[in-house]
Amino acid sequence: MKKGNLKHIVREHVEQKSLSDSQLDSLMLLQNQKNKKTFVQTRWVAVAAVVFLAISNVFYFGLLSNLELDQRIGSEVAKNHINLKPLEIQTSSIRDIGQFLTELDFVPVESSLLKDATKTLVGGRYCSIQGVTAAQLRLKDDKTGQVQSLYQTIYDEKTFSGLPLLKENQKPITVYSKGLAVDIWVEKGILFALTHEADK
Amino acid sequence: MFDKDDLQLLYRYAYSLTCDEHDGYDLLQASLEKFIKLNIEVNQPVAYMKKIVYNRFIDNCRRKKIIQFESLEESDLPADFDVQTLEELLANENMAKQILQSLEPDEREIMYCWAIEGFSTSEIAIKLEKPKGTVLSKIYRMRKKLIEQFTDGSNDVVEVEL
Repeated sequence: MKKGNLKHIVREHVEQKSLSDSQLDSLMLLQNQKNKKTFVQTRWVAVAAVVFLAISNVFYFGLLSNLELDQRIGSEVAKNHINLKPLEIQTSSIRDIGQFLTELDFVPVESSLLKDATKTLVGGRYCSIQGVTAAQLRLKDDKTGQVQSLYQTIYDEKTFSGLPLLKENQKPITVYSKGLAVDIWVEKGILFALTHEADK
Repeated sequence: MFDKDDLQLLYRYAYSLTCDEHDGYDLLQASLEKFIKLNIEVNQPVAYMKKIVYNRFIDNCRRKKIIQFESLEESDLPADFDVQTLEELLANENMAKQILQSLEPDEREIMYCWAIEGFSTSEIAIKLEKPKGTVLSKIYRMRKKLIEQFTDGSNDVVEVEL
């Protein structure tokens, strides 16, 4: 029997071994099938992820951004109300206020929601809501003596989009900030924000 | 993924471990399925696949309880011992399979690294991620076993009835 170097003999023996054509084809097919499956799965996962993100964005940035706007307005209004800065004009006439606050881009008006309310207009001053010039009207509840602030500013659809429109039968939205409740709505082309006690 | 040359190389590795054509193919196929299932990007897929093949082979051996745990004492190891000392051994051409079969699973991998890939002791230790001393002990034990089982007292590994 022919003898040889152990290393050489083992290597020769192992290197003689090879997969048959059918075994090779089977393993190649296995890889291709899995590749296709993985590709399809990956593609569907990617599509699902994109759809999910798109829907999430619509809800999150659509609805939530409006909620954030409401909250921002409510927070600013509540802060100004608590400060109760001196009135620039003291009058019970909304027309007088409009005539006095000449820098406004709009005419302060009465809201239909407050027509029947037992509130007396005390006066007004300039202020701003979200950087837009506004009028701050002060009201006094005849029954409770509670002082309220009614903010009015010109309604700009781009700046204040998504806020409830009375003409479309939408009800005012109420947000809470600093222990106060603030009702916000749009009426007659004016954005209104009215403070009141949170538990009323 | 793997081309046909890669698959042939991996099959030979699997065969070196199992010493059986069918078992080698089964081992490779199962390992390939696992690799695909892992669905990961690796820098050296063939090397990674070899690890999967080896780990799977060891798992199979454990299931069949065919691994013998041996101590790794190096006290009887000559100071100048090296993997190259295996090259002094001569063997009959038809004994390769029997020799491989006589080795423990981890010894077969060392044999593969040495005989097929041509690694030195240090390279084998790095590849197997084991201390060089451990690898040397295994080589020394492997050599001793081959001489005891297959020689007539010389360094010639001769055919004997198993």
